Amino acid sequence: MRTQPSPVGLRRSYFYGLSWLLSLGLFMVFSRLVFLQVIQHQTWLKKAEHYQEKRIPLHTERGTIYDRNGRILAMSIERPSLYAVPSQIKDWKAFSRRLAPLLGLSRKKILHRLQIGGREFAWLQRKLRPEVREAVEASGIEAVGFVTESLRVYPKRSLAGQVLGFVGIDNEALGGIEVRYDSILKGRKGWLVVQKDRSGKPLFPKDFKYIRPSPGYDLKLTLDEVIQHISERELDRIVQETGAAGGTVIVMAPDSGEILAMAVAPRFDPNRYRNFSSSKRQNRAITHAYEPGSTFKLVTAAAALEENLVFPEDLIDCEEGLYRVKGGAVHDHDAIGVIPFYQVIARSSNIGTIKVAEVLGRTRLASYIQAFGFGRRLGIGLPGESPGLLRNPEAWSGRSLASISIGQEIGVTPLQMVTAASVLANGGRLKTPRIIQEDSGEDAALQEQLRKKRGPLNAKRVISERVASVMTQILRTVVSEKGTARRAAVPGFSVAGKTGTAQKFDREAGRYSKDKYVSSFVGFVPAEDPALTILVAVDEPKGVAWGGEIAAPVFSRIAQAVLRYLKVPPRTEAEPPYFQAAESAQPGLEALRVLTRPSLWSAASPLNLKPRAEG
Amino acid sequence: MLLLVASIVGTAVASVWLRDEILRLEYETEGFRQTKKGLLQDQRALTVRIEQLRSLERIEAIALGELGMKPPQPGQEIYIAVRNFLEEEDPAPAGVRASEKRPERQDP
Repeated sequence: MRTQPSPVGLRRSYFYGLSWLLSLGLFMVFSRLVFLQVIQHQTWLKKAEHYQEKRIPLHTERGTIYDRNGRILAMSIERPSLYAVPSQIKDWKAFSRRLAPLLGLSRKKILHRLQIGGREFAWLQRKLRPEVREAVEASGIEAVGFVTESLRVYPKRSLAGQVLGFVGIDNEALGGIEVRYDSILKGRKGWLVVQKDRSGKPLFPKDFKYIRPSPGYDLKLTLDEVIQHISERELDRIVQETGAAGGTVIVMAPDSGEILAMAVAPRFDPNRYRNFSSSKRQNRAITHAYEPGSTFKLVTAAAALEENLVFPEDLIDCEEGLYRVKGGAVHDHDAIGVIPFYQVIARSSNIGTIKVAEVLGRTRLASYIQAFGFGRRLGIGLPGESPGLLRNPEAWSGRSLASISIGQEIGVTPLQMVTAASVLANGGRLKTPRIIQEDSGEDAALQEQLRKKRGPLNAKRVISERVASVMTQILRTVVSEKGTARRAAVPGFSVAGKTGTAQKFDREAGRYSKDKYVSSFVGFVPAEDPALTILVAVDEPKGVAWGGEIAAPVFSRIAQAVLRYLKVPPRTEAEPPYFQAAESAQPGLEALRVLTRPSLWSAASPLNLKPRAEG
Repeated sequence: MLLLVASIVGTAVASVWLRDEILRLEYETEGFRQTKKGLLQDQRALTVRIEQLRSLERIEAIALGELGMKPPQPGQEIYIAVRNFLEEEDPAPAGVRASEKRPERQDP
């Protein structure tokens, strides 16, 4: 028989049990308190701050891009962007019907944008004009809102469009100077952390957090708005007149290497970048390599003169327009007989130039080509700069020496060509081309960043001052009455330059095209004290394609306008070139083969004698 | 005792007023900040508009089209040699390089 517990003992048991339960409960509550207040203190503090605080992003404006005279070429402004909250729209059709006329969009497009957006957010139109915002707000349409975004504006529209590049809808730099100098231009976003009231309005307590934004740096270019405008105007004119596929003009200050204008046709307006194909957005002045044709003869001629292998008055037999080299025959545009070397250049004889190159040899020619800046990037500090196409001399074929000496089998960029011509204008020194003015600000950090963006600046000597001067005189004969570039003449100024009419290589046919040319002219003015080096290249002009007929007049018009703008006074009596372009040597004259001359000249040189060829 | 109560109530009222005033000023500051931001943006937008209107392409089109102007022809420009009395010993060169002297702005 079991004994019944006494009532007192039972109560005591209940009491102890309840005490334990209460103690356990208190312990659990206390533990939870410690857990929340001590262990998870930071987590909950952050959550509380999240609800009480408001982070206000402090956007910084992208830096402005100026020309050399402080004219604005690109700047940023703020614009409202319109979004919708699709889940709050009761009738999508009615919504789109009301909004369409205000935004200038079709109803279909608005409905499409609502569909592709999420339930809570869908962009309707970004970077609107302020008056559109006012109209939308006045209409009282619900379930829409605005956020402010930065819009990049190019107030001069297509002026230097390819050089400047552009910025996408999300402010990402996508081309040209914008992308190359993005880290400098964009700056760093800042934050303001404040408290907010029940309605979300910001309040500023004493200890509000502030992370200062770093504004983007402004950039000053070497481009001159006026010279750029003149270049683009004249380039557009010739492209339109000749029905050409495109063209390039570069204007350079030879003594500093500063690019004053870089024009590319067809034009590109970065404000409407979506309307242009990627090929039209490219800055073909630096990205596109072409066969320069006869303009390249100035490199061959300067190299031969520098090596004392030929002198300006040496007679060269141009074989009456037909000369056999390895791999085929070479022709001249005219049947030319025996003429002095300076006339070989003035009359742009392929055969005469090839004969000189044969004496020079592939190794020496290749080294001069490289010294003139071909076959490598010049380091102007723009994206997509092409090194051009120059094969290693060991890989040259039997015909390569002949072809390259007259500007075939080699790809050069317009920038390389104008830089090479500037070597002659600059007394024989190659100056690295520049498009950013690094000394425009006093900020050392900025200058350091700018230096990193481009190649090393140098002024390497390529040829002697004497040869540069002789070449200038020879190139002046090109622009004389008997030369190929009469139409490049600028009244009141002496001009030195060289024409080029290069057949384009047809990749599909695997041979040179018979009707597609690049007509070009590169020259400097005034020849005796050059202020400008100008390259004009017109791609695939229809009809007459001679560089002297197409590109030379463009050079003349640009040079006239720019010299006037720069207030360079004309010389009342420009001295005629030292070498007078005369007719061919007398018929029946036995030509001295240029191959026989080097020994004669090298023997005479140390004696300070100048041999003279007669009879 | 009454004085003590009055001073406590007065301090409390002043504190509440001060707090309210701080709040009002904070709202006002934020309002001014927004106004300033808006005005700066207006200024930038107007700067862009000025630059658009100063576009050489536009000005040239007006000069040639609406006003019937023409670029100067050869012979219409006369350069006058000016004797430089200040630098008689070291006369300026006839040709001025672009990089040596920043040109004054001039319509093409």
